[in-house]
Amino acid sequence: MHHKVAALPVVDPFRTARQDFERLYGLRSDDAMGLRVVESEAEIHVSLDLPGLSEDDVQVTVDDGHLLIKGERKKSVPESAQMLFSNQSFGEFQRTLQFHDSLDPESVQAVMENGVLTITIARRPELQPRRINVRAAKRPVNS
Amino acid sequence: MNASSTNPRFSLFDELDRGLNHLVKEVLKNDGRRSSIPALSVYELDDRYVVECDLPGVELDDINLQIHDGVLEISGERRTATPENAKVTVDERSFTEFRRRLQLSKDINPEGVDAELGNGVLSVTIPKSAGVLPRKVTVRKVSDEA
Repeated sequence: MHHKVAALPVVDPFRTARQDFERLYGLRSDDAMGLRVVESEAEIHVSLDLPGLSEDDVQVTVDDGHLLIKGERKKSVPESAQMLFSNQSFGEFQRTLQFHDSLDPESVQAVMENGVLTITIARRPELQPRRINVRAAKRPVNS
Repeated sequence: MNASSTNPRFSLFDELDRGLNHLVKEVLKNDGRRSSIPALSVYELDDRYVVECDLPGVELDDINLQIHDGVLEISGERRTATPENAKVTVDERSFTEFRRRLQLSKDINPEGVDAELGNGVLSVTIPKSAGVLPRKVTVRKVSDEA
């Protein structure tokens, strides 16, 4: 029924430049976050891979049709350790998603599990397909 | 922070590159299914090495960890359930199956390896073998017995 995509990553014309900048300063690149959007008739689920983060490290804000996800992955390595190799991402990150009018911003819920943040947004009830009960016609009762 | 934290000292994992090349070939062969090498960090402390591997959304039972012939292998799969009547409209996830192999140095004690999974990060602790640890010798007092 809903073939229109309800949530999309915000397209950033400066994406490449920004990613280079992020890499240079050790920020987490958007592409590393494993965004996944699953849509059904009643709601949509937006997931982001955020390994090493707990619910306290993530902030989700809804503002004017945008969903802003930000947080910080702190380094878990002890001070006295000597790093031999690392391609994990640490530091602050931010990701913005634009969502369609058919979604109800009041309904946003976020759960963090196993390093994956899942945000659930319901479609507006008035826009959801409604099933109408078909009743049998009343027949005059023969006496 | 990524680039600056990479240390050229590769004594522990000197065959890492060889392993990566091997994996690249595997990924190419593996057309259709996305297989990849999860991000990791390896660091050394006085008495142990620690390998931390990003495995978001992977369940404990779906992770295989083994040490064979001095090679530590982390492999498994990430299972994702899509509810019926639902449609995936964006998918940027980098892997479903994963495999990462690391050549360990000889100064480790494979018996003492310990691993735990928390917040989607697998942390493997590999103790150094007793022979290479600095050993503290207790100095005793000369006994008075004659």
